[in-house]
Amino acid sequence: MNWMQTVRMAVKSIMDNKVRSLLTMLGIIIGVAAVITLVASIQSKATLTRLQFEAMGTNRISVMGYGAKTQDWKQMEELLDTTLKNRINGWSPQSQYYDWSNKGLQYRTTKLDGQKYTTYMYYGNENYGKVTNNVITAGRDITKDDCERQARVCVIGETIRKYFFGAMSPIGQQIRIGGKSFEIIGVYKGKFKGKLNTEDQMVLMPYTLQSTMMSIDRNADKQYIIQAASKEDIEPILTEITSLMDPKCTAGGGWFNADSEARYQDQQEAAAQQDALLMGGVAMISLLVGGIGIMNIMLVSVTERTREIGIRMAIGAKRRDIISQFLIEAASVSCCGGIIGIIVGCFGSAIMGNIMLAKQLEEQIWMPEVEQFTVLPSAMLIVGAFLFSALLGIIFGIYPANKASKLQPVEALRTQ
Amino acid sequence: MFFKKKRVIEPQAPANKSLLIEVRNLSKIYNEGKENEVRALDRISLEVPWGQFLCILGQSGSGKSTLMNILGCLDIPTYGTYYLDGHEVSSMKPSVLSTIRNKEIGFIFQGFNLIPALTAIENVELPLIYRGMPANQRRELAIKALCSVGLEKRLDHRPSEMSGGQQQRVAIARAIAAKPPIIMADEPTGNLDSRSGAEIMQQLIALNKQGTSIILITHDNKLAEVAQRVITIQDGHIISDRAGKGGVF
Repeated sequence: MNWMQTVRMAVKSIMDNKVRSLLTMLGIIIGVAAVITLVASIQSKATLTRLQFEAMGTNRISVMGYGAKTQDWKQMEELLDTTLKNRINGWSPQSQYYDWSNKGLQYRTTKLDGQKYTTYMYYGNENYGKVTNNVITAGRDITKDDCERQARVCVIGETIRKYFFGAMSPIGQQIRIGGKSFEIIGVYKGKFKGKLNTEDQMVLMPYTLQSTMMSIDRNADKQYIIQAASKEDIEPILTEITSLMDPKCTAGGGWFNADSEARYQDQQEAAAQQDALLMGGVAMISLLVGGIGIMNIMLVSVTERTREIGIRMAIGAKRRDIISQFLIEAASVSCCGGIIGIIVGCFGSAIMGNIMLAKQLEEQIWMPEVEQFTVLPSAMLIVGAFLFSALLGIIFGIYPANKASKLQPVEALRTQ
Repeated sequence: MFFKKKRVIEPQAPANKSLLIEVRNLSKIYNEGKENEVRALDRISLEVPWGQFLCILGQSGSGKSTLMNILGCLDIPTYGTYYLDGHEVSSMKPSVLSTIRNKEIGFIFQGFNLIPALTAIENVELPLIYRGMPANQRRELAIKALCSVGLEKRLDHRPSEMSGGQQQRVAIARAIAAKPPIIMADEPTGNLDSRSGAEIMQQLIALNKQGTSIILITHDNKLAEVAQRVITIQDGHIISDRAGKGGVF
């Protein structure tokens, strides 16, 4: 028998009994929507975490410590440039500028100080942009030469550029930092769409200027950022520099810490995948219940339509024609339920995802480009959910369909 | 399962190919060997040549419906053999029986037996669908069949939107759409008023004139006279086999 005809007839019978069909599908709808919402939300959260890591710098290692002497730190820098050269993409100091007198930033008469918003001001070297995943959009980055000459230059973040210059080009302009004049040589592209009070609100100066900009306490902590060449290199680097610096810092009465968030990235992603699987599995139980609902209604349908089955058999339907008719009907019901469930699930994950995003935004500032981030189920998830609901209809349709096909024509015709 | 009960006891001589139906020692026994054993048919033998208008006459409970079910391949006998167009039907598999019902036999029932959810034309197309006929061809045949019973204006009506006579004419159209050699009609006028009943009978007579074999099952003596041959059944036995008036109504 022509299966397109059967599908059309099945869809017609669904449309003829709207309320009943909807109630039958409800289990599948809820199940599919739940699976999609949960899995999509969890997967999106994992994506978000990854974006966060990438914004901080790929394979980033943060080094922090105090108590060691300047030549000890020099020794670590040498270690990075020699033994560990192949294991790293680059390193840079990342000392923060402490604006004790709160002079803030000033361009001509416009001022931006701590009373308004905190500006992040760093001393770095020529690798700073690279290791923090910052990209120059105008002008140039700090060079090795700038550092050696102790040039009074700086690179500003996108937010600062917007705040002071608007449509004007900032390159070559003089800006006052802590009361001293600096030439702007470049602009970093915004990671956060140029919103105030984000990490984009930053200024980078050559690290060699640190001593002229502020009095450095002998015990002031030193900070470095290192970008490992790959995830596998993170552990050896950590071991090497910790074994070198930790005793020295401790001996000087200080402490040393080197760590990388990226170390936990894989574990976190794996954990998120496991969460998705677990939650999806729980939601699938409701799909199972939906399937049983379909089986129930199909059994009722077989009983109701015994006479129809008898007529069909009398005029020449074979067992497999009857089986395929009821299987296709069951699959049509579950597929319709699946499609509605997918639509509900898309809305559900968008809503759930936005709540989740809002919560995450409250908790941390490291949220890259969240404006572009929408939580939607992946294509694979949608296709998977659809196929699974179709399969469910077929599996739970087998018993009623088989029952229908085993009716004897004479007796089926006799029922009223 | 139902079909496992089938037993053929003695080997039979080859069938006479010139006969449409050849039945030998056919018995249908319900609850055999139990206290409530019912012999619906008891050793019936019958020969029907091609193109005959045969009437099986009998009172309610005489076994005439059981005989029709067996002749129509809806049921199988407990004992005996049944040759339809030279083929031994009583030993065939259910799927083969389905094919025979589909290709060889057109049914007309007392209760019309149309599928309520389908329109007239869809009902008529149904046997052609099961035959695997392409859509445009079967639509053409269905329209032709419905026109021949005078329902060309009712193609897209559902059974519930038609009178009893019209429904029965749809059933006739369904039975003849595929041009089967045999039409089996079980009390076709039983649910109809006398005028509609007469129309249906006229159509059966016309079909017979075109060469279709017709087996009419009825309890109505007057109706039976329309046939060329009348077989009377009582308590599972054939008690008379005589000529009818044939073709006059």
